[in-house]
Amino acid sequence: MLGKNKITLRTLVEILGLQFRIFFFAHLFGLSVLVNRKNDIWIVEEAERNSDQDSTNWKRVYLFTILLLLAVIAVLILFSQRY
Amino acid sequence: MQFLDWLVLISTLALIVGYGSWKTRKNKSIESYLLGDKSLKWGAIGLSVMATQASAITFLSTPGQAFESGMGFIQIYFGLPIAIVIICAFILPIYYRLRVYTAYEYLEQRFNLNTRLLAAFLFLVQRGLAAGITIYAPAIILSTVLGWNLNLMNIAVGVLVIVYTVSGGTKAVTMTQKWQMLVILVGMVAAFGIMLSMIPLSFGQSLDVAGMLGKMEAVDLSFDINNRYTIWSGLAGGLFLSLSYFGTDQSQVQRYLGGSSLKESRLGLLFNAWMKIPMQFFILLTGVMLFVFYQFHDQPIFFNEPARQIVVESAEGERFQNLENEFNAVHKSKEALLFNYSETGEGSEKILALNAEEMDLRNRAKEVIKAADPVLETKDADYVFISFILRYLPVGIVGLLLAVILSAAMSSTAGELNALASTTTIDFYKRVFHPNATEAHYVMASRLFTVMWGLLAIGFALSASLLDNLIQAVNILGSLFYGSILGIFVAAFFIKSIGARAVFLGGIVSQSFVIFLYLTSDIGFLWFNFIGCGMVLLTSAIIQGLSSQLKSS
Repeated sequence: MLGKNKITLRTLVEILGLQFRIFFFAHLFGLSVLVNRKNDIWIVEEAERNSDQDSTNWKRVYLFTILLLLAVIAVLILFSQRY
Repeated sequence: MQFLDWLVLISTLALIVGYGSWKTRKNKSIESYLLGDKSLKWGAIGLSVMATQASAITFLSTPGQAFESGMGFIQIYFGLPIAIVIICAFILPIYYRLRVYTAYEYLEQRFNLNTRLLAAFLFLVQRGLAAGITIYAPAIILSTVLGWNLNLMNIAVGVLVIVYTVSGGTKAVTMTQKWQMLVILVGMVAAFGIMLSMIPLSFGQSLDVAGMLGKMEAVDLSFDINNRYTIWSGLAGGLFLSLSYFGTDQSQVQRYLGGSSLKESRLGLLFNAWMKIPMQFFILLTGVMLFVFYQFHDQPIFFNEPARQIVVESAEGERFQNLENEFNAVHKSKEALLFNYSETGEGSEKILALNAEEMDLRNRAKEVIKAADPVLETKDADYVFISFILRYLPVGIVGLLLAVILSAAMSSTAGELNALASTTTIDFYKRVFHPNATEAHYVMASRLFTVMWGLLAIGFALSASLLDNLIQAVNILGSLFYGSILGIFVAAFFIKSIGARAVFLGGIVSQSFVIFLYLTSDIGFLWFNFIGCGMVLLTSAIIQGLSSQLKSS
């Protein structure tokens, strides 16, 4: 317990947990922005210019992979709740 | 083991090794030997990446892990697809543009020779030890349960791997890994199918029983700092570990650098991003179904039979057998209630109480084992799946499953030896000692280094039994170095302003700090991955900032 406001260790852990979750989703959002703006990043711009000719839309493939991961996690959450 | 099992085991291993060695015996250039002529397609790369990561322990321990703790272990793989997307988007194009043979070559082009040699040296130390463990870990389990000679097993597996890795280099490793993965998948599906057919419930009822007994909690959304496996620790920790393993560890980098184009390498890596979680889910589900299987069959109180025999014959034998009898009685009562539960859905409270009683008896049995012989290992999770294979699978399938375990051991060891030889040849021998030799000379040097690392791995595996807690010791050693290596690569890829001197000093400071923390604190060793990486970035940024200020003033 800390001071008069009765902040227990558990409350602190819960606050930290909430912050971590916000941080995590911000991180995922940041990643999607990064993937979308990857041509602005110096290293990739330089590297892609020299890579072989490839018409694949990689941004879509990466987005598909992240969405697939989220879908798999969602299915596993439902699976856990069902059983 | 019957004749048919021996026939299946030996012919499967011999065919894969023989085919791989014969098909890839002609290697004239160093690019052909170390990068497989850069001719590999995405399917071969994907399977090779998967086979290098999945060692024999994956197939022996993971079902045992699920048997004890349920599906929660799946969460540690949640960060892997995100890490692979980052590697495909940002790191792979750079390796391709610079046409490197090893990941550490890039560090010289970005920073300087010292940084390259520092990272390569750290890799050789940790991976060299890990190769010994990859051979030793399954050998100790198989030799215990089958009564085979441990030293002979270490030597046989090691020599077989050396033969085809030396003969065909990267192409042989990839080609054999493709077939080894096929054997592994067929074997695991066969074991799963046979197990299901022996459970006297439908698949749906089995899942219900497993769920009621707490084995189906795949995702834990709570932020419990005491719980090792939650979605948050899996996403954050898994991301970090996968970034360092797939992005900077030569045993993985070499697998995808052999691709015929950037596109093939990317697809090969992404194949793992898509398939890894389903594959691990299947292996864990095998463990959960094994748990359900044992609810309706005689379950030993302790799965390591040779160790059990030692206890029974000791002064503690009577006490142990009394616990066994008590355990068997509880198990029988629970079995009858479970049949009723699967039909009516009633009686779960009584079943859970009996389950807790069983757990308590198992723990008490482990205390008796410790009292009988303090040297005996009381953790028996690694023996759960192999006990089932030997006791319940039909003749022929036992041989196939042993081929699965040995194929997995060989595929990951081959990937490691191949990477160790490449790093020694390219980063040290060619760069520092013999820069202007012929292609044939470097191919021969790579072959000799493969033999050297193979013999060292066998030697380490042979002496491994002399050390206590060996696997943990190697994991700690890996975690001590991985963070600093990742930090150097992150600075190289993403922070353009950091220069060679700053990152080299940052690497040294970080490594010293991590070792100091290890010696003076109680921090869990997995945290050293985060601390090492963060320290490299922080200290190199400070050093760079200070030196820039000094220059400008």
